[in-house]
Amino acid sequence: MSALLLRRLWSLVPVWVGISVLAFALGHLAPGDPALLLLQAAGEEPTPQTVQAMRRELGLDQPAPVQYVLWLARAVQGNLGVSYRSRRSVLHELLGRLPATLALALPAFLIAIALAVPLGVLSAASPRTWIDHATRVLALAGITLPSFLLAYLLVLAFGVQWRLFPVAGREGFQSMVLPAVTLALPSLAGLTRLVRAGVLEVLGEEYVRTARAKGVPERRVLYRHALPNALIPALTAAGIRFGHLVTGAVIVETVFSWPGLGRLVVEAIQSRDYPVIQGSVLFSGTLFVFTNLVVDVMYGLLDPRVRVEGAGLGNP
Amino acid sequence: MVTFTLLAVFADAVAKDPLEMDPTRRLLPPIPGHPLGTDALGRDLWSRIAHGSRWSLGLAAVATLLIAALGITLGTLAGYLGGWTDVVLMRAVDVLLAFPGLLLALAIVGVRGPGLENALLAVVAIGWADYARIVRGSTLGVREREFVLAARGLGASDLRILTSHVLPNVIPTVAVLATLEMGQLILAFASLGFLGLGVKPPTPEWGSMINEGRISFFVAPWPVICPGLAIGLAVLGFNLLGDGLRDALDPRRLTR
Repeated sequence: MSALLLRRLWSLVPVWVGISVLAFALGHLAPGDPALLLLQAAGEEPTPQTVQAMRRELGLDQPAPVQYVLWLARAVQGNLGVSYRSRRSVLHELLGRLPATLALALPAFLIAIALAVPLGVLSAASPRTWIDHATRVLALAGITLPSFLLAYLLVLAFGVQWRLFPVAGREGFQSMVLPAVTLALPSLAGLTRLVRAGVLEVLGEEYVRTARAKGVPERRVLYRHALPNALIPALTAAGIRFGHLVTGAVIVETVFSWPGLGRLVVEAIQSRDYPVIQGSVLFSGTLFVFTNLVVDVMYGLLDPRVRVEGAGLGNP
Repeated sequence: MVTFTLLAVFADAVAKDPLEMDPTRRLLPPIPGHPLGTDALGRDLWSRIAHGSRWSLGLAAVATLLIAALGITLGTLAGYLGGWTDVVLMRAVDVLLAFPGLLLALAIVGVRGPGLENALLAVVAIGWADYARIVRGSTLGVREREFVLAARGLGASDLRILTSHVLPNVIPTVAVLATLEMGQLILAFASLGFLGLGVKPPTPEWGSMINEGRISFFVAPWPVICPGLAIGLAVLGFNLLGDGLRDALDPRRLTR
């Protein structure tokens, strides 16, 4: 098991390095001299001498590869620079927003899984019935409805018409409902499709036929024989979905004025707070790689074949 | 889908000036003369959505072409040349695919500054990965086939083998992918517009229309809901078209 873990960890290293190069390069795409911007942000009148000194302090007089290594060395120690806007450390800003984002991502993830599995199984087990059709319509809607439209429709129905839930801000459990549901629907739709396809595929397998032939009740065939195998691909997708939920809730957080990571990025962009933009790319990338690792390891635990063969990332 | 394309082409004929303001007719609900109502500046929503289809669909179409061209080029190069080119390109693809696209697009637009060109740049810079991966796969499959070996035996140059033997074999796959991704790109540009990072107002692009309508949403929801529905319908249309194309081009799927 630990060998598997190590191998996974190793296969994720190049991806993480790639993300870090990307984040580093982003900083260099930004117009303007970071030394100058930092001095201005600190409220000082920049003179050529202080700019020069700041450039040296930031290592900006070094060649780009050296700068990258220095930057990365600081970054892994948690030093992602200082926000131009708040003048606090970027890591501090990011960690401060993480709980709010998780408070949406976790419930959304649970809603998606809790509904996707039964819907997918029911729909696959009873093809061409109303359950199947309804599930497929729901899945299609979840995939194609843009989240801003869905968000505003929910606000209109539950916030304005029936006044059941607050429509903005983060105060208590009630304010979580609408954004979490909005966030959940696309994942719910995608996962339902996968579970449905997985169960349909497994139901055509030889061992299911064998089980039916020897008189195993249909329910038992479905839940004991078919479901565990059908869920494996869905699990991988679910893990990646969770990464998206954590890092990609920008739209939902904007609509509901939710003070999470996504809002932070948008605010940073509006105020040209480059260290925060750069830091959030590295931070989200790292979170993402980490979720991938967890998924890979769980995959190995659930599917004994993987432990022997060992497929790489993105090749499950 | 056809409806939306026609709308984009004939926007002038079926709709009024999308920029014309009438302060006396602000935030009207749908009434005769304004089939979808008006926005906070008294502009006719139907006209803005009709003209907006040019921006929203046009941007996505341009991006699709650029992305497909870039993806096909890099994908065939990686698959055909192999070696280090392949390793480097596929690592880049891994990174891009491992990451939520919108966040990365946001970051690129964020450091480059909001606007049409940068939004396009960001979307293209991220979008090619999918195509490159799939095209590389097809190229690998075709590379060692008899007709390619025969062409090489006859002394055809690499470029000729690529353009006249490998490329035609990957086109159907790319066509399906492009149709499916068209919907995603419409959504991507709308999202950037919605966050105020895409096309600048007063240009009637669907995403930025929603953004403009947000302020008065609780007084008048139409300026938000109508462009939202337009985006949803356009995305749905391209998804259905893509699914249909895939079923038509892939005989294995017919048995399902």
